[in-house]
This record gives sequence, structure tokens and C-alpha cells, in this order.
Amino acid sequence: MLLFAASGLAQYRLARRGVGGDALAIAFFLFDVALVTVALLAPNPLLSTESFVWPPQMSFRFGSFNYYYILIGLFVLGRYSLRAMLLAGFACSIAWLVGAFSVSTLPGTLFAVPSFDDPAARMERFLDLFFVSLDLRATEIIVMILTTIILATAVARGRL
Amino acid sequence: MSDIAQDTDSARRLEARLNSAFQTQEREGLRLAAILRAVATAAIVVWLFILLRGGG
Repeated sequence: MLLFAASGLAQYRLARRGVGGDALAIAFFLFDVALVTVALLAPNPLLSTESFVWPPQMSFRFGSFNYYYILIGLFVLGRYSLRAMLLAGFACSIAWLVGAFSVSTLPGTLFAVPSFDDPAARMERFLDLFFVSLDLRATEIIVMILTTIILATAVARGRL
Repeated sequence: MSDIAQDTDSARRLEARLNSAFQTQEREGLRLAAILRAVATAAIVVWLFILLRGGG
């Protein structure tokens, strides 16, 4: 959390000295995205004890992806650039994709969902602690990309 | 000929002013973002403290 606050302060201090540009904004953004991704997907020490280990696959059950929208919102406050905006959105998507892939490749992860013919089995799979929904991950990423394109359009229009 | 030169000069000055305005806006935005980050950090630290004391 302190690193997250320090990153914003450092970027503002540099801007006050006249240091800026898309490359620097994106560099800071990549740092923030990496920080948030690790914080969201790394095992939570408060949830596991010696007798019970919380499955890492459960990290996807808390709607954590929403926090990336805060990053995108903060980014658009400080950088009015179409290119930087698009890169920021894609950085979030790639980070989440990498995070989802790394958690999903852990042993025991379940992806397959039984057909609609067997609703009970379907529900059982959704409630399984080791189940990761690829459909939801795809939806999160698609919505992020669409939102970014809309924001980038607004930024580009603002600069005309 | 001089009209064209004047127009070009005027457009250049306008663009320079716009760029300067954007830079000021971006700097102000970064200041606001830094404040919001600090507030969010403080709020989450307090929330964590409450969670840990209350056991969730």
C-alpha cells in the first residue's frame, strides 16, 4: 500500500520538475499494475493457517479485477494521451491474463463446466474451491478493453 | 503572403498555449491522483486494523 502511495507522489514530483511524457507515465503505470496484480493474486496470509490452506484459485471469487478500474481512473487524471490510455488498458488486461494463467496452471485447478442438462453438477462445479471460470476472466478482460477504448476516445476528442 | 505567415504564427501560438494548458491540467491531475492514493492507503490501513482487531 505504501508503495502504491509513493508511486503517485513520485510521479507528481517528477511532473513538477517538468519530467513527463508517455514513456514515464506508462512506466509508473506498469509498476502500479504489477503491484496490484501481486497484491490481488498472491496468497493472503490472513486466510491460511497451518491446518487449513486457502486455495489460490479462490482469489478470483472476490471481484478483485474492479481495482484495475481505479488505476485506469487515476491514470486518465494525469495523462491526456490516446496512445498512453490504450497502452494502460492493455497493460491491465495482460497483467490479469498472466495472473490468471499463473494461478490456473496450479495443480488441481478445474475449468470445465458441466452442460445445462445437469444443473446440479454445474452448480457443484461453480462452488468447487478449485474452480476458475475462464468465461468470467474473458468477460473482465473484454470489458476492460472496451472501457479503455471509450476513455481513449474521450481523451483524443478532448485534445482536438 | 503576410496573411498566411500571420495565420501560421497565430496557429502555432494557439497550439503552444493549448499544450501548456494540457500540461498544467496533467500536473494538477497527478496532484489529485497522489492525494487520492494517500487517502485510499490510509483508509485501507485503518480498515485492515479494524478487521484484524475484530477478527473479520
